[in-house]
Amino acid sequence: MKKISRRNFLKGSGLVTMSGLGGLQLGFAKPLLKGGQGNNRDLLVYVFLNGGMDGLHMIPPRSGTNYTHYLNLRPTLHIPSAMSLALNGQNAFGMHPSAPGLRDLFNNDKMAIVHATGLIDPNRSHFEATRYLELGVAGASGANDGWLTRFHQSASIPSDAIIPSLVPSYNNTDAVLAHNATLVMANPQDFSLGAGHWSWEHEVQSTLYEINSQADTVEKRAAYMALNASNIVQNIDWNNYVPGNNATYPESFIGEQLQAVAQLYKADVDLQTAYVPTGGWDTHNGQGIDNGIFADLAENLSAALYAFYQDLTATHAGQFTIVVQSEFGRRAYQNSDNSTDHGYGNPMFIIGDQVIPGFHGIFPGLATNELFEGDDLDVTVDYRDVVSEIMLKRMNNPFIGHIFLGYTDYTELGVVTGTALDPIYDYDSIFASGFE
Amino acid sequence: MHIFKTKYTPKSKRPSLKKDKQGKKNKRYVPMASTAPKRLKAVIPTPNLVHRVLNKMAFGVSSDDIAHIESLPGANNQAKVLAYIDEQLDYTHIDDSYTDSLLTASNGFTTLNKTRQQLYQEHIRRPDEAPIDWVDHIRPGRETSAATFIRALYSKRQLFEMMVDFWHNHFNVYLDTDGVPGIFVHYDRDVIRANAMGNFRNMAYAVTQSTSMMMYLGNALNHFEAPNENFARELLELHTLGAENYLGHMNHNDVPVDDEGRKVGYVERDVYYLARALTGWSYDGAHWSDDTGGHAPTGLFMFREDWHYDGISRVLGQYFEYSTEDPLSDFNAILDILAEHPGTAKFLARKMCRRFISDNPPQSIVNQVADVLHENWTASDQIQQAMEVLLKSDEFLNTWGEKIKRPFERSISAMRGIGFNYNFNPDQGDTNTHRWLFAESGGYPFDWTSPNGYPDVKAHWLGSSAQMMTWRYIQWFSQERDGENANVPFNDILNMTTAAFPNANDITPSSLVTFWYEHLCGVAPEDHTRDRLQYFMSLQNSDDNSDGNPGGINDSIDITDNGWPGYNQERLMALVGMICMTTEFGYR
Repeated sequence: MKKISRRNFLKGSGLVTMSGLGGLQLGFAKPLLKGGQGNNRDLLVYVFLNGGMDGLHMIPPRSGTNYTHYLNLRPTLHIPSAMSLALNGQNAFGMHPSAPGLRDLFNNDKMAIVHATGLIDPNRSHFEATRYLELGVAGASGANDGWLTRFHQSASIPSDAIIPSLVPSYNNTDAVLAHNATLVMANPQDFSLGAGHWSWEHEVQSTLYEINSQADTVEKRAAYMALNASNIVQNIDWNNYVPGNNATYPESFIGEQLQAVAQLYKADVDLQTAYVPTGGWDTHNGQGIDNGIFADLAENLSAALYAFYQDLTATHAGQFTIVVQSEFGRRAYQNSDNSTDHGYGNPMFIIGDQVIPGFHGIFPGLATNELFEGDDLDVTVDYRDVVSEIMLKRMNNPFIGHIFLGYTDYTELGVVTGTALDPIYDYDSIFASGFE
Repeated sequence: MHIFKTKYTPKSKRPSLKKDKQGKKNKRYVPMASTAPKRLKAVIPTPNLVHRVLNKMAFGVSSDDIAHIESLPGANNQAKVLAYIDEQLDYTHIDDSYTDSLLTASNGFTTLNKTRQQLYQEHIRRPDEAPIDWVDHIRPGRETSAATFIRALYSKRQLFEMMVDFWHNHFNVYLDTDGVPGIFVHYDRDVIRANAMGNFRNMAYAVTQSTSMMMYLGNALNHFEAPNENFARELLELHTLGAENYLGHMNHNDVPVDDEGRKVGYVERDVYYLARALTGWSYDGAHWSDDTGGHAPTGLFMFREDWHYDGISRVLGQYFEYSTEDPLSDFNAILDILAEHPGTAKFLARKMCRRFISDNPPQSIVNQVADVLHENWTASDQIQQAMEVLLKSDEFLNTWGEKIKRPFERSISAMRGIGFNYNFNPDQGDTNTHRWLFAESGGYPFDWTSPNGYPDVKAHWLGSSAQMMTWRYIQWFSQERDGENANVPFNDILNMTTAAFPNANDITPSSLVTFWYEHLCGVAPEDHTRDRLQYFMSLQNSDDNSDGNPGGINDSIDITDNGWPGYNQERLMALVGMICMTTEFGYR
């Protein structure tokens, strides 16, 4: 009976969320919504490293028995301790030499690293592991919406919020599945119907907008949403942006993506979450050490995150939290192509002014008997514990059993500061007691 | 090779649309107050059978194909459509000489007939080791992309081209993988097109041996000392049994067996052994030592015996021993098991039904198609037989709107609907502009970076980026003109309009909307949509910021006039392009 009522509620709330986007204009953002400006909620920026980032390459062991095992597992594919960048307060782990920006964030107490996170059930398929993470489920499931979709549904975000959710990408993601208020946009400058003959192109956009404004199908709603967002996006001066703190974004797609998030966030809309997918991490070959595919990716990621932090903290200090995660780590030992296959446990990064800096969680070790099935770094931290702590302390949303379907056993790690709400697992009973 | 690659071109290197905007004030659209949607309709209007099948088994409706179906024998539409399906299944007997004539050297296609070895030695690695210009290296890939547009747009073998698209996505290779552009003609022609309506096992075998897939998923350097699992994993998960039959880290002894003794699914240990059975499967040129002794690498399949795992493999509960007498036999035996497996048939059937019928196709038709695939798994026309059952099913013929067109399908069907007649040519700047503009949609052929192929469900393509950038592309090409030929439009909109209205006085905002909407969408527009389109078409002054001085919706429009300030021809082409952006046009 509970389940039925929950479904009904989801349908109902979905309608409200999707329907109320009429008449959007700049300057009407809800003061209550703006991140950190009164609603006790950060801007959440979720950077997803598609392909399986090699955590043992990004955060390599630097001393002790783990370093010895690491050299044995990867005789020609390791970051030597003399090469990795030193990280404050310890010498067990370093940072990839191409990521000085991340090193600086860490050493300036703006970054936390959580060891050995992952899905509770190991899965070496990109597509399954990614889908489970995006849907916020532990394994095969009939979930028909994404974890960020459920975050928005349960966060009491007004139905007329203006662009509350952004995916700066060419491709949609299941993290926002069934959330029509999400704007998927890779290229803001061209996000309008401005490619026709000059005589009538603007009237085409307004006519199409009007046609879709009577949205009585899922498809029309989605079209209406895109056109509405376009009207707003066109009013932002994308070409003359001056980042805070004179931050310099790298000339790369991840640089453009994060800059677009910052620009939209500062443009007086109601941006609450940004899901930023960035690919290339599936390094089965050509991985390299301080040169090669991985080094290039690490350099861009590091420079982009560093610029993004500097940019936002200038005007929004303490009002944003960045999470960096990949679908899994890679095999502890190298393959025949001097690279790595799919593995399991992997670090997560939390970046912001309100992190509790340093290393968290437990590194399970690289001895054969410590590896998962003798192959992979094991998982010691349920990634949901990490995200849930941010939900409870930074995002003002206690419904972690709804955001992560089937999740019942939150354990606090202490990765961010803030007053923690009590976790609520049973969203149904809240609804039954009249929550709206 | 490196799946999930990042695609990136710096802003400074991206082309921009150069347009003459003189005389046009910079208008800014101000959103009007709108009515919030109240509820979803249960049904959408359903077009007639001919319109339905041309949007589902072909790349949309063209006037020629409608006329052709009407000319086929049969007492009614149903009979004619069944005759059309038979004709399309037997595709080798359809004359496609017009399409072929466009794919020749005089139109810029110079690599489509080169052998695999020629492609390798002329576009990847020359025998004399002389450097190859980048434009020459990527040329076979660029030609394949342009040919894909031409074939989808003009080919009379529409079903075959749909199947080619399906299998390219099933065995996806990201075209911009290092090395692949130089040899992609081989993958498209000899691996996918050669088998698209034939036998699945043959296709999977050709894929396994192909230079392109070995470059993309890295099996070319798979050595027994430290196997590379990438291709083996995707062969199981994406190509044969599918993720639905993946049982993860379960112990292989615990995997249940079916009535005929088959393991019902695969586990990590199967990936482990399959990767070993694939060690040494490579191509000539993949390893740095391949040019020793003055040998010129060929790019052809090469088995590296000393790289091969010589132990016993166990896959799906069966044991396979490496034989030096017949060194490919271990993998071949495993591929037989996979191709024969009912789980593979079910997985393939569901994907085919998802492509042609619905995001969530009924189990009944999935089972029928799977049975045909399974029972005929060694037949040379296995796929054709399965497609016949699928296409003649009630589930195919009598459903509508359970799919939406992906960006490529929407764009090509718009082209077919407006009589678009540009001949894509790899040597022309216009073809490159098509590429740039359409790639923004996230749906350019062979441009999906990961091995699972483009998603085939509505939810993915309803994202705002895919929609806006597809509309933008349609907006551009539906008004594109031939700068080399007196700026004549690359479409037949004006001629089709003139032909539809023998009396020019009958051409009015109202009649234009009715004619073009029904031609493109197969149904009449809803009142609200009709009102807005008629209003747009009645505007007479493109300079006017207020209301464009609308005329009456029944006033005649002179479509031979394209002058200031009404730009009647541009307005008509904009109207027709806009109809191709409606949700109704997007259904299939």
